[in-house]
Amino acid sequence: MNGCIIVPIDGSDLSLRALDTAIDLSKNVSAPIRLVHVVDVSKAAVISYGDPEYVGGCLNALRDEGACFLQSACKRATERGAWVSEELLMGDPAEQIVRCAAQHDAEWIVMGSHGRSGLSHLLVGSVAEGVLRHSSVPVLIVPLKHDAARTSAA
Amino acid sequence: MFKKIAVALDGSQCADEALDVALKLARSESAELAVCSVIDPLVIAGTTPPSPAVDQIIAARETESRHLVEEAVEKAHRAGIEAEGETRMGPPFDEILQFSKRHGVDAIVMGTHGRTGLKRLFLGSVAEYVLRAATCPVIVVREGAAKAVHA
Repeated sequence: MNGCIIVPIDGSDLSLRALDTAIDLSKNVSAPIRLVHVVDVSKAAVISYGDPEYVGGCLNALRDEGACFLQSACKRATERGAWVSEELLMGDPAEQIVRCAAQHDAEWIVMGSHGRSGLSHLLVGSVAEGVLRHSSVPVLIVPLKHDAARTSAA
Repeated sequence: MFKKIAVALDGSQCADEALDVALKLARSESAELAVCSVIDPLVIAGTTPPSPAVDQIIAARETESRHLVEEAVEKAHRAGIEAEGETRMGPPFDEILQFSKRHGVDAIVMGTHGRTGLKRLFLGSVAEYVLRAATCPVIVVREGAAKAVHA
């Protein structure tokens, strides 16, 4: 059995396209996929305007949202015959993704160049940047401009 | 999924590890490998006027690059992977992209930092430009990352 492929899911279209790439890869290298969604705790603090009364509610909402993203991504992967598991984490997304990869002896991280919050004019989003900077496993980055038609036709 | 995988080499430790990752990927994907090594005349000569000395250095680097590519292609062949290679001259990121386009690759493997990269930067300038402009997935390998693949 090979080490797993970590696929961070944030609900963006690009993260699902990265998942499709990971599904193909997982079949060829016979490795399971581990879907990861990280609830960005600092985001909860921002959207609740730092009000302690609302932080908990915001966190719960983000957690529910993340669970939904994971569920639909999991369904997509299962339908395409991939062996998949999922994990909901809390904290700084890049840090948690890298930590999760180390913890599971992952062989690859497959992700989009930009997430939901990424400004597409940046070269790579901040999460991808953080992962590239710290990952001790190869990181496959699916670009925004990725010619999806060509890949699915191939 | 990947039919042809490009890998960029420059003799750095990081690029060697990228080659290992590319070989492993090519094997599991039954893909071909396209090896490329780029000489940047600007890095060698800077703005100094043309001179025999500069020409000599460029020639030496060319020999070295050709050797790198040949070695990598042989290594691939020994692993039963179809491979071809090319040495190019020009701005590395541009040459890597043109090379990838010409060979119709569907993934590019490269190191985070090449020979000229400053380690303190999160990404070397070549990897940065390739990531920015590539239309296919780019696999970025940090120094030390290939070990994980062998484990």
